[in-house]
Amino acid sequence: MTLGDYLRPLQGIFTLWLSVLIVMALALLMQLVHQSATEQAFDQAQQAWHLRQQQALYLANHQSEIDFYFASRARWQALGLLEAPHFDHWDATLAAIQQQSSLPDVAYQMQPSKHCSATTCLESWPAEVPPALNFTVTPIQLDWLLTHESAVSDWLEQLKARFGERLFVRHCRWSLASGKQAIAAQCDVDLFNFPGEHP
Amino acid sequence: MARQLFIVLMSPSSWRVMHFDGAQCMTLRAFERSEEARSALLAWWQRYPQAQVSFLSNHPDEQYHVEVLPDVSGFAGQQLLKRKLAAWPFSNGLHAACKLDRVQAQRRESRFLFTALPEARLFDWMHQLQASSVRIQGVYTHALAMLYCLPEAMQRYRHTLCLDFGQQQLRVSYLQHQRLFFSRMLPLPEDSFATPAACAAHVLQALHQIRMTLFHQQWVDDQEDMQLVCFGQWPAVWQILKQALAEGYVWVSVSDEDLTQQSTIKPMPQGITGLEWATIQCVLKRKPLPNLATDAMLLPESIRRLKRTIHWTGAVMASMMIIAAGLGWQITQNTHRQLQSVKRQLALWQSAPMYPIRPTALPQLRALTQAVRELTVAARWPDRALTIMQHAMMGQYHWQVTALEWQGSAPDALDTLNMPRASASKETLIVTWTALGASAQQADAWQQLLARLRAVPDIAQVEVLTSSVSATGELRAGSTSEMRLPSQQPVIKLYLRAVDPAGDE
Repeated sequence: MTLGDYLRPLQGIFTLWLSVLIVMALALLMQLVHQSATEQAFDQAQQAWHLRQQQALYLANHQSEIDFYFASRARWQALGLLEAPHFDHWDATLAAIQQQSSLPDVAYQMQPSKHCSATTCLESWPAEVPPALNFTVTPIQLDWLLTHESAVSDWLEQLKARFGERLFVRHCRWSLASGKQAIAAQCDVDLFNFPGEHP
Repeated sequence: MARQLFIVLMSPSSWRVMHFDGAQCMTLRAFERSEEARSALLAWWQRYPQAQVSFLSNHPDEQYHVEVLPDVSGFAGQQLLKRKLAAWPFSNGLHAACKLDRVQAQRRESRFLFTALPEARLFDWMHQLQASSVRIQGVYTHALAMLYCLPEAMQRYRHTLCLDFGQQQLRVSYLQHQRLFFSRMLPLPEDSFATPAACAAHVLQALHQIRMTLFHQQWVDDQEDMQLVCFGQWPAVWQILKQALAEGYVWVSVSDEDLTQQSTIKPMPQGITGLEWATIQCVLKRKPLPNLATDAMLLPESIRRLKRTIHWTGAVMASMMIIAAGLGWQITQNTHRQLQSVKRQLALWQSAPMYPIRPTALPQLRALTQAVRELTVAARWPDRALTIMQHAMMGQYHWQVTALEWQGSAPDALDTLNMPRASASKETLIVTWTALGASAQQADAWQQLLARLRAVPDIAQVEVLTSSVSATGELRAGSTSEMRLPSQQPVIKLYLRAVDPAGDE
């Protein structure tokens, strides 16, 4: 009685089962490979999704600013807010206002623009919270000789329409001119620009 | 389907064949020992191709021999045993060897019991049976199977002699520690021993011989009592034997009822003894009895068992793989679904309209919009102050305004240090007046003017300064006394209330 006596009759069935099990094991292996590939793809997609969500959250935090920016951008560009100070433009604007609205003549003195960063020349910044970006400020002095003091208001109204938020009125003074026939008026305004701050 | 089993009880005179279906005894048939009977048996068994056949021998030719071998373990021990077995003259046919125990003599030794059934015709017939596809479970002997049938209470004694009385025969077996060392069948033909006394004398003589044999083998000595266990019914002979063998023997008789108590199948079929029925139970329950069938005879069955094991193993492994694959497939499907949903959401996100803004530009955008908002909120215009003054001066003929100075904001350094921010951003208006007309009227008019100014809701405070041509920040001294006569060019400072930023636009 040898081992061969046992093995010979069992050879067929053993081979059959072995091949069946090998085929099944291969199928299982392929299934596992497919599963791991799918899981990997899912992990990647989920990471992308998390990244997207973080971006969305970040955007949502800035949503009011974004809306405000896109609502105002066209006007700001028209006002020249986001460009460097343009003196010819100021000159032309004043001449146009005077001609169109038949307002009294105005004389102005424009000082050179000051370039300020977020930390320098804070005294020129009128608001409580200092800005977090660079800006330029151009002090301008306006002088009129008027018959009625409210012509200053009309002028400032026109300037506000042309320069908007850029224009900041610091100080105005009216006094009777010699001979009391006319009123000398003087206003100090600052013109703000945010050049190069185009997001 | 229950297991089909044929058990052949082989005795010298006849064969009794029992057909079991599971544990149920279907039939019991007796056959002569002839060729015709064997053919009939084969025909019967072939009607049940799934049935197995077991032979249970109780034959005078059975050989029992105790062989003592040096204690060698492992493969060398097997070879030694094989050689010893080959040297035994009965090892050509049906035989078996089983280990009894280990003893310490001069050296460590193992004792083996060699068992054989030297029946050449049976041996040949079993080969024929195998050729006819009859499944052989094994060949067992009655004496070896009997060990499993002894009641528990009898297992205390070291030496036991079992006496099994059958039809015209007596089987005497010697057991040491419940292991069979010796067994012999004594024929008791009725014609020779017609009276119980003659029979008892014959048995006594045989027992005496056996006792001498055991003594010479040094298995027993005179010190210890021997237990005598009697099976079967033969009361007349018993009594005589009991009287003769009183000294040194402990008598125990086991009835058929005692033996069949352990059996699960009741009642016991007719035509067999209680001890036979008890040994049949051992075969039915597949107790590990020494099997006298050769390896070649057992090969088909063990191959069948192996095949079944392989089938079972294969099936279990295959089902485990199928389960694993099914689970994996389900998990994959689940993951795939989730992946699709995440991808859909991502696609939805990508297709949604978005501002063309890089996320990195957002802090700059926030700074810009905040700066512009701050500028807008901080902006002040002199219109309100002018309007207030125009209303205040309406119908006023005694005082004329000669200079008006409006300060929007941008408080000086002192203010930023000492005043709260809200009041620091307050608009101020410094007005310089000139008197017109008589002084008495001037004073009245001045008081009226001050009162009127104080009544204006937008004015928070009225401060009268000394006469000064200008209010350009030089040192000023003033008094708030209202009854003081004003100078010719009084100066007052008006603090305007802060406007609500919401209404400022």
